[in-house]
Amino acid sequence: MTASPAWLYYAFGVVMIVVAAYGAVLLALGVSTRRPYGWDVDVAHAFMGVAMAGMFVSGWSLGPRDGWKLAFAGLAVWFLVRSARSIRRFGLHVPHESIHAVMSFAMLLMLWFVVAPVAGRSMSMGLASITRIDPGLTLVLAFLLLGSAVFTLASPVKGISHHGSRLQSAVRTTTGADAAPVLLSGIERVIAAPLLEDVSHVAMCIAMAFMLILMN
Amino acid sequence: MDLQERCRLVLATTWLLDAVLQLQPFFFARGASGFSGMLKGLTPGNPSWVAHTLTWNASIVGHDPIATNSVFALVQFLIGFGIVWRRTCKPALAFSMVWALGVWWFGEGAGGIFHGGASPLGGGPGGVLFYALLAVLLWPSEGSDLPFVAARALGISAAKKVWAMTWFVLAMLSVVGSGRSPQALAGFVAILDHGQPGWLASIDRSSESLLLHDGTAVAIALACCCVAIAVSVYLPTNLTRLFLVLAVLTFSAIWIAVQNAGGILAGGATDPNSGPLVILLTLAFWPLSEQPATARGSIMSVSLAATRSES
Repeated sequence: MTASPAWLYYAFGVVMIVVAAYGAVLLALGVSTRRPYGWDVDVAHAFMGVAMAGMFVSGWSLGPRDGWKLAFAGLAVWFLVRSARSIRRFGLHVPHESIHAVMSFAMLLMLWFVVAPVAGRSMSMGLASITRIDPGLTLVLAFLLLGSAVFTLASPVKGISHHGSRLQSAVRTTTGADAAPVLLSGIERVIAAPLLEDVSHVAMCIAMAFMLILMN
Repeated sequence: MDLQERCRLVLATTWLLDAVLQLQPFFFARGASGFSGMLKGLTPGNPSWVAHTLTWNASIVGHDPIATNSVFALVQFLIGFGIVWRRTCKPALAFSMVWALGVWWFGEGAGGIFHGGASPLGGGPGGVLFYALLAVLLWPSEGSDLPFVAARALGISAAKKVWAMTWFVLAMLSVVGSGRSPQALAGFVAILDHGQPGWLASIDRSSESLLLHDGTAVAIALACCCVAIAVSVYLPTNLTRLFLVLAVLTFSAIWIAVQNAGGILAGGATDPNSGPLVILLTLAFWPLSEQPATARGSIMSVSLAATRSES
């Protein structure tokens, strides 16, 4: 199979680094303002961004593969538990944590089934020949991720991909905290803008869907 | 978020899937083993005036596959994201109709209708035509989703006529040309069964043998089924629902067992073929009766609340 142009993988790699950096900044902001929600999504996005960048461009891969597997397995379990708790608390609905569980599971699958990249080449260039993952599963996951991207952008509630409004309102009622982080300066408010959070989620979903399709 | 918008968002998701599929390495490749080769492969059997347009398109793609394929993918991303935002929804849907018709002619050889190879089993008259049809039926408009989503844009009578006409065309295409030929029908599956995962290859073997021995009977049965579905929108609501379920089941089975999920699972496909779009079309005609308003209202409010509150 002929490789896609290298710039495409580099472009996706750069976007993933940006998303990872943005997740890390949000996490730091959340810690400094003691924001009680959304930090788990920030951690997940930071991890996913770094790991995905390493999948798109082999020279950018960081850390041992087993470490990443462990991290994403932990995140998948964490978000599953959070989803179950949300359903138990608010009744039958699709919690926003569930898509993060799906994303963590997808990361785990990609790390599990893709062997180490060929030195000096983008990992994705050799994906088709080295994967054993069922393409039906990758298609379903890719469609779910793209659906999440579309429905997140269309949602009237901004920042829904990171916080969900049920969690926010619960936090408001139990702690009196406002939906937006308190005591933020102008630049911090821009950085933590709900729309930006959604855009980073959308970028992650598309990049991950692309990687999953490449595995077919 | 109403049902019409939700259907549109599913359509937008499919456009995004197409855009991502367009970024696969195969489409950036030069020569016969690339996108231009695939386009040239559609010319045999088509009349010269159709084949000529395909060859013309293939030559443009072959000249610079990276640039042209990047543009194709970008256009599909723009359509997908354009449908999502309310401000750009109408222009994006309008552009998607033009794009879909262009792809149908220059990229799919008019779906094979001019050489009698447009059986709905193989995706005829062209999966991409359903994108254009859905863009019309899901055109943003004020009003209620009752009695069915597609009626909101066109009105009840016009929407029902579009539905009936669509399914009569599918019925006709099932039994004309190679649509009723056992060999050709088995060939639809045989063409696609390379590189499929084990479970799908196993299903393929069954459908290949069924179509080879009973292909004509299957084609006639499909035509009868399509005619029944076409008139079903004029029947009492319960019967309509029954036939719509039949439509969903039939095209789900066709999508998996004959269309092989559009060939996506083997790589090298630009779209999921007609199966999922026919199912979305069917859902847009699902009767939403006013009688159990309380029950439906509660279901709607639960799902709306879930959508608003969680992604």
